[in-house]
Amino acid sequence: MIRVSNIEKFATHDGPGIRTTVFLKGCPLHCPWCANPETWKMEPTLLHDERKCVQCKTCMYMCAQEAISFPFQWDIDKCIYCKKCEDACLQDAISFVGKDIEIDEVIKEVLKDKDYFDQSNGGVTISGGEPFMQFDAFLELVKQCKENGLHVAVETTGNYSLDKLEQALPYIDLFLMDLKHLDAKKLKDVTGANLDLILNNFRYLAKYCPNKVIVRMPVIPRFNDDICEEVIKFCAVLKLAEVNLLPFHTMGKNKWNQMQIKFKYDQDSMMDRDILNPYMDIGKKWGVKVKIGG
Amino acid sequence: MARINIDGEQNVEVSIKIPCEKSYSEQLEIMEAYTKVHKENRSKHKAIREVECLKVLFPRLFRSVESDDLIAGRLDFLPIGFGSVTSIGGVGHYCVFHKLRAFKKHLKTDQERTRVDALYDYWQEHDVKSIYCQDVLNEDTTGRFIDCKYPFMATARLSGMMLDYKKLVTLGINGLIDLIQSYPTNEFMQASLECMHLFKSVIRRQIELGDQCYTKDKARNCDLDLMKSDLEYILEHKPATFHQALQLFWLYALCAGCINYGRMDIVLGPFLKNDIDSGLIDENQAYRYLKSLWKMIENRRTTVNGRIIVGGKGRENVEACDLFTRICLKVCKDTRYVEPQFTLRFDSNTPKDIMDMAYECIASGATYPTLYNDDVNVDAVQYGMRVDRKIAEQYVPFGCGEYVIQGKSVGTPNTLLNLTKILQLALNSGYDPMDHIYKAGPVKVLPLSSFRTFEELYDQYKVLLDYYFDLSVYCQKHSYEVMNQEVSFLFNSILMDDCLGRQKAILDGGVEILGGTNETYGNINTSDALYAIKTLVYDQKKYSLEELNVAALHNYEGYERLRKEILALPKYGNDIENVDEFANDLYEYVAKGIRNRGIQHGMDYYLIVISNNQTNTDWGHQTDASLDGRLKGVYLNPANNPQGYAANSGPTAVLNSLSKFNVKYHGGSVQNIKFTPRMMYEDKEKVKILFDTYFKKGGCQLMVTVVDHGQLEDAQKHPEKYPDLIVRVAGYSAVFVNLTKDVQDELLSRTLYD
Repeated sequence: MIRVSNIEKFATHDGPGIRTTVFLKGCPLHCPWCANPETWKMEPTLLHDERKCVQCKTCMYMCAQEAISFPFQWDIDKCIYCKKCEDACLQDAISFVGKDIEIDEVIKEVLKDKDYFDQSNGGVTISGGEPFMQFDAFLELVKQCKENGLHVAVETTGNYSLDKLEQALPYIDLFLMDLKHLDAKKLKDVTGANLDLILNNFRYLAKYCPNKVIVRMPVIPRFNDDICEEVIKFCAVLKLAEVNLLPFHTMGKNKWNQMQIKFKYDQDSMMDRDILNPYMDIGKKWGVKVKIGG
Repeated sequence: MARINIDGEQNVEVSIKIPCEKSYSEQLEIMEAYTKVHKENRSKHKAIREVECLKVLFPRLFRSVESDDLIAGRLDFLPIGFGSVTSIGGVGHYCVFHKLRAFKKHLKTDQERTRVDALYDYWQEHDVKSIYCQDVLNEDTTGRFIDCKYPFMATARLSGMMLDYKKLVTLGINGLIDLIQSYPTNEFMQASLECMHLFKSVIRRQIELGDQCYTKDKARNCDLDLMKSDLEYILEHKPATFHQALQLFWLYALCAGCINYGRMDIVLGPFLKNDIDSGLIDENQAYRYLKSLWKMIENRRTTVNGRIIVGGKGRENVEACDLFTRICLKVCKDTRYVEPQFTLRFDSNTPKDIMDMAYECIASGATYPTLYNDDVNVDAVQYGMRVDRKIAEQYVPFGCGEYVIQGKSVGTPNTLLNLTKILQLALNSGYDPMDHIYKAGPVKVLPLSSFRTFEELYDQYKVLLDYYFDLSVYCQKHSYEVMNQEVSFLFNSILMDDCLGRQKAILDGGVEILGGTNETYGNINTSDALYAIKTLVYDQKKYSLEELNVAALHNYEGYERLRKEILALPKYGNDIENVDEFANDLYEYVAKGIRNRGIQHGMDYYLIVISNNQTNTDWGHQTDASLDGRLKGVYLNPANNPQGYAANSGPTAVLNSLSKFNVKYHGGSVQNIKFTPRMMYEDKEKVKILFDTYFKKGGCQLMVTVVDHGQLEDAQKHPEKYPDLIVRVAGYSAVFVNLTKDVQDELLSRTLYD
């Protein structure tokens, strides 16, 4: 059994070719720009769509735990995940994200698009959240993916101990691994991540399988938009061949609203991807392929 | 005998027709002359009467050459006249009554209006379609096309005729005359001969019309000189050049009332290549001529027809055909017209550059070419139509997607079934919940409480379907009998195998392959409803069948939670095995049921088509809430695609579901998909592979609309900003803002992939 937040088919931004991306629940970080905040917690997460809600309060009346109040607020500590509120909402304004699925079932679902993977050199991407959070189930999942001849990519924060990485490595063809900052304190303060763990994993991969790594850097205003070149240099030093600069976007904003959490970048607009173009030349200078976008 | 009212719209008409060039009084005069000849020749053989009637129309109804036409041939039609199809005029000797009434309003004097009344009265008894309708329409089961109160609609028309233009351009007019004269004669052959002479008078008239167009513009005059000399040439010779062949083909198609043209690469490609190789013209000139043809086709405004088909198997001079194809692709991309319906047949041997050009054309938002997969379709047609492979290679989709064999088969869709409505008869003791009229004919429909198992209910539904299949095959065949009793469709017959050889008109035993098609609607609403019934009533036992039905009868008002539960059940279009299998099981039952009846009744083929124009929307208005969760009056699912809200697992899943039907049982099925321009351009290679894989998995057809997020919504609010936003409705493309709001809403409901 593995706890899945979503399975997205024909994912075109999560690795080469046509892919199916399996988003897993659970993340050790809390990046304030996150596009998938509903994946952070292991428990199912309630999303409430204000645009659909007609304020009938049926959900509130149905909840014996009094976990729902209006203006809409969901009390996670009281919720027992009976999902009566979701069933009762005729507007489909409430949905819970996250359900346990047998690994066999996940594989079955993924294999439905195998023909498309084979034609396009695509495959499966395990994302999240942080896939390594459900480590045992994740390991089983990637093992079974490999047994079924799939190309396996993971989108990962790198924020876990090296032994886990070592165990999973044989079953993973491509790491799309985030590098969000090179300043340990800043990284810790804003995202909660531990830079030492991350760098340790990068160094290991760079040593044993540099071709399996694409470094991903979400470029975030006022956080790391001034250190892109440093990240490129870091890749050059480790002889990692490719870095993707992911321009800041606000496409996850609606999810934050649906979780009744203020999105820190409410006032920021989408980053114009063209402003990152100069880094492609800088990359050439350092012998690193810089791609804008994933 | 009480007359069945057959008045009203007879076809989908989105594009606005260009008004007749003649004055109203002249139009009246022509219609009177036509009527007089029709009356006077009543005792004559139908072929003789037909050609006499055609002489009233031709060449008189040809209109002026427009200032940028590069070939001649523009034809008006009137509310009374002769034709093959309802999109242009009417069928056989026709009167379109509502258009005649509208015409009457334009007349100034009572005297003129009285003359119209006399015509109206005469044609009530003689309009071919009316004669047919009196025979088959009734108050409960069978309605006219388009009257959506009925579970079944029937019409008489000769749609989708794609003639053997190769024969025309190879023989020329005199060659055809020689051919006609080489056979034993009879009235049909005499009339055919006269048709050819009438055709020559049409060409001579074009020369006169062209002469009226000379201006001070030297370049224009040069074009007119060519037009004139080529018209003069083809009067007495078989065409020698691309321009001559194009000219001859076009005028013939107009005279025949054909609005689908077919494999023009085969007909015109060799002339084109010859001219280019010899240096007579270059590709730019060919482009200009084809662009002019494109405009002439657009100006006929048939909404759902205008097929030009290129590519695929069964072409002799492939290089010449591909040369023609490449120029057409350029014209199509540049013109962005809703017609012609430009269609690419392809297979694994199609050159990559042609596939790439096609992709670019689609990505630009032209909705064309629509794509037909010959690696799948040729085998399917061979089985479906029971023809040999060489013949199957000449299949062509017409109108909204029905197949015929070019020059060899009739396959007009004269019958239409609403599968969802018929299921509702099964659930309501034979009564239609929309109007409480009993529509089950002689079928005994049991009360709901008697269905102890799902299979018993499904069997009851199948008995009703069988009854409607029987009606369908009778009405389809009878449409041929009535049309054949009244007319010979001479211009069509002359270029259809093997009418001349047999000395028989097309429906008189002349055509080699007498087929037909039946358009089925609500396929997926029905299979999803059956799935919901089986799951909730018989598997989970959560509700009784009565409870579900009562909820639907109340349009789910007061039963919203139940509807939510139904909507949450798996739906077709998400690559879910058991629900797709339901759709497939129903598809095979219906498709085989129709096909077998056709064979039993002596037709060469009779196949279902899962296409639609906008009948899914129109019929939805008159169809009660269904147990897939669809509300009363809401559009039915388009073609064999999922209902708008139901597909939410991405494009691979929907294409996987679509490719599960075994294509050999149908005679055409269309698949819509909608992408953003971003995806079409940024993910170009992946989208190409997506299409390619779908086709490799057995996908038979695909047509693609490219629009941006919010664009359609904005176009509803600000139509003036979107004069050329083209969308694929189903079997036709349209400028979005010209569609009615209900059809726009159906399009909006479809999933947009980004």
